[in-house]
Amino acid sequence: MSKLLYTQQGDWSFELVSEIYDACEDIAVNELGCDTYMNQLEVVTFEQMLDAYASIGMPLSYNHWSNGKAWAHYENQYRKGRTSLAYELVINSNPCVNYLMEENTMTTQALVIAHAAFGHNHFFKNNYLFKTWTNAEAIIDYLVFAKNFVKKCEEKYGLDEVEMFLDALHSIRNYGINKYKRPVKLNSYSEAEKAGERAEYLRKHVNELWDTTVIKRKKEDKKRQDKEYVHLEKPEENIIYFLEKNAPNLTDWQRELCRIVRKIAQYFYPQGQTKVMNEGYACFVHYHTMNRLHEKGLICEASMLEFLRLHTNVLNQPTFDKQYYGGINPYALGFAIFQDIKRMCEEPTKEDKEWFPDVAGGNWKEIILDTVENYRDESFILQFLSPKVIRDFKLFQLGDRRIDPHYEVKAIHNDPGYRSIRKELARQYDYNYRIPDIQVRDFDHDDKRTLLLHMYRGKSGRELTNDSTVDVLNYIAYIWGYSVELDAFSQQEVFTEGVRQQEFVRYKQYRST
Amino acid sequence: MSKHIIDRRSNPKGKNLSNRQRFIERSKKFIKENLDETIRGRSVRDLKSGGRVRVPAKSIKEPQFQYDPKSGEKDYILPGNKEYNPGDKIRKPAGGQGGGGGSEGSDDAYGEDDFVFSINKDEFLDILFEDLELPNLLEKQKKSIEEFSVERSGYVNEGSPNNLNLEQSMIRSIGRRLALKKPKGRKLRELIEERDKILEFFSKLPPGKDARTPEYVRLQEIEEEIKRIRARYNAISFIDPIDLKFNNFSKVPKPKNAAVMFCILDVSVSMQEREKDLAKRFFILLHMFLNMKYDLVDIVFIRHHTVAKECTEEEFFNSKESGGTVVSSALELTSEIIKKRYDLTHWNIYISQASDGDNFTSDNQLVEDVMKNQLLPVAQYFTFLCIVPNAGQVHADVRYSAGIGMEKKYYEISQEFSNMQLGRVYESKDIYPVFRSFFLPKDKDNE
Repeated sequence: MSKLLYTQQGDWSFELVSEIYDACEDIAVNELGCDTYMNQLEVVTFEQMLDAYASIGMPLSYNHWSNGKAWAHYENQYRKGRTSLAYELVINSNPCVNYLMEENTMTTQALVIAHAAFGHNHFFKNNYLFKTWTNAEAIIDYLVFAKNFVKKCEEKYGLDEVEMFLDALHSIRNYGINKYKRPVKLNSYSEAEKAGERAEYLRKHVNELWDTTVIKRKKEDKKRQDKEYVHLEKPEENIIYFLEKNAPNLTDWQRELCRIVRKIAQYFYPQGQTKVMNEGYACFVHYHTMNRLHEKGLICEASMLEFLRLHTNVLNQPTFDKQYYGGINPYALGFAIFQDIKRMCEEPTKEDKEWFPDVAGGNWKEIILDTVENYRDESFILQFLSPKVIRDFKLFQLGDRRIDPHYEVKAIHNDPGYRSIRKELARQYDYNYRIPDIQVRDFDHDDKRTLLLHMYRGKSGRELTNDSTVDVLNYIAYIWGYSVELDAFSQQEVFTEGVRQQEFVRYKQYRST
Repeated sequence: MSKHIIDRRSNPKGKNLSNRQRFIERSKKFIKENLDETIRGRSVRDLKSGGRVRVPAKSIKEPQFQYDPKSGEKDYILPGNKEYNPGDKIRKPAGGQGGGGGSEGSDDAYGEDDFVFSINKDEFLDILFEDLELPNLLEKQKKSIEEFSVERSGYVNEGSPNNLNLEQSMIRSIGRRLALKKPKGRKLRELIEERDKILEFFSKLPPGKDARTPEYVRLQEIEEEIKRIRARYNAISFIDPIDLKFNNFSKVPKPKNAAVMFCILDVSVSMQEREKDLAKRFFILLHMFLNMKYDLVDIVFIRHHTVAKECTEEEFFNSKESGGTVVSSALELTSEIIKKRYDLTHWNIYISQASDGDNFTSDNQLVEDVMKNQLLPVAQYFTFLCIVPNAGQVHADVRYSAGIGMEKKYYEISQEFSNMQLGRVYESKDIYPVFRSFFLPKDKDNE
């Protein structure tokens, strides 16, 4: 038995944090195979934590009132005691920045180090989405560049002007993302110089989209039915990118703001798609690490109990009929699946062998590392949500059709239900399930220059909310400079001879002044 | 793999301050609109809290393309099945139109609610009284009470021991010792050490061999030196009475702006809960405003029906009375209190009356006398809040309408005296505009 790292008496200290870190590192790296960026542990006060919360978890961001709003919201919640702050906050950067709150007890600090400094950090460094879409080396510098650029714009063109433009861009933040095309890596060091060069280049060059001669040739090539709109070969999913390159009247600084907003949106794209996995893996790491620390005699019984209490709080999954039910807890689901993978490797049952022949009885360490690297929430759930986890959560599937005054129970946690539940749950973690798929389809080449957006209908046939759609279109029109139209599906029920059909309704929105 | 541990706690924490200001700037308009709710339930005297502010979520929303949770055909995956089997039908909750399970991204659920956040007292007052002023003319006449405060004023050579300033005293002590070349204690100690060494050396020698050695000569020199230094060391004291310096304090006159605010409320039968509540809101605003402008604000509550009485705030708003209304009784009492307690050279007088306008017609003449001869000449400002029985009357012009009860009379008086203002309210949302109209600078009024 080795000596206890710390006792329950007294607060944490920097030396203790350092020792705990080393102990956690030993377990995470040697037993779990974590491969992380270098860690930077920063001790902060709760106010600083709130600050970081408000700037979408980044250590800095350009000034905007919406951050003030977020701050006011969190502060209010925190002061009322409605929510406690997360114990940790971790930034996908290299070195990886981990915030430790000064109020935390030593056990909490240990938990946070295992969870964030190793769990999340490993995930950031190894998951394919993060590897493809984000550049941990450059993000902090890019944010500095963005902050300074916005500040300069405010000084030069006025606060209101810049704020209005950012408001407009924020409304289509989710459409500043390339979902399929791989991005060019950010290179922050020369970003400021490049911005200047880009502006210069754009000034000197003609915008090809508006070149009529090219258009005519295309028109002949393609026999499109809708002859008004023939200027784009393919729809453009990245609306901000499209506006940045093609909106006729934008000035250089406005185009640069477009770029900043979409670059930052792109940076957060993987986070939204890996919530379950990322948190699940981090929990898996902290659970393993804390248990091992205890087994090695490095932490005492009391600390272990404190840890278990924290752990169960974080992983609590209220059932659907509880008042405070707020959806499936990603921490709980992710952790359960990872633990289940380990269980299937160590003690496979007959069911496991049938469902997961590749996993059952395998090497859990390798399988989990491979999973972390190659999946996102949707594919992760689709692949690994086992009947056992479905049973443990007692998941069931409820169908909701608007015209039906009843919900229908479609599947429960039994043999016929497993696959249906798993498929549906996975689908709900798909990006396009949550964010309406709206793309630039074309634009009008005559004097109206109307921009045509198109909403691709999701499987569930949901509609857009009216108010906010109109507001967003107004914002887009403000950027585009001319009117904007959106084709969106609207599920108007029409009954012909007793058969319900759906009609396709077009929203029209003209430029607001 | 190495790590860094950095203590960031001393870093500035107000990173979001400018964002917060921008956000408040944006919400200002709505904070004013919702003022009503913010001051509900406060006491007139309560100035401490800034309080929580409610802003309609719509006004500060950040729109996004969103799915309407009520539309479409979708499935929920929910945890915690206890009794359901495939094929079971569950009736949707009435009115809820579908969102029942609440399994949609919980983010949009927020959207509908108003956004509540806290601002501090200063921010709150700034927003409320932005660009309002005490009328210019009156500002010049601001009177003040002389008060004294004790302030530090340099050092003196004599004083009581508790005022001894150690730092200053020691500076002088060191200076004096340097100037008089007081020998250093260390030098003395070194010499003594050296002497002891030599003596020790001698003690080991055979007796009689010590004379005329260089050590002996040195010993003589050292003894000499020690004697000389000791004498000088003892002659110059470490700290001397002339070194001592004492903190000095003196009384400084501090002019304080003082105002007294008279709240006059009609508590006759015709004044119901609604009327009292409206009056209260107005008084709260006035009190906050005066407090911003003056260092010291006194409040006097006077309620009246046929007779007037000074009372506590509690009684003022809560007690029920019956009977008719004689306004002059309250005005006279006010005048009396001013004469008795508030010296006009020191106090600024603000009188605020709220009433439904009822008065015995026969009393109107007396009211006019008291107003013209006793109150208006001494008061900084007299505001009259008329609580009207229906909404349409709020914006009616007193000149052309009949005027409610004594309001007509007041209107005539206000034509003569610029420090009298009339306003009408019907419901709580009228109060703030009326208040603003009283205190908006005149030149802005004309725009």
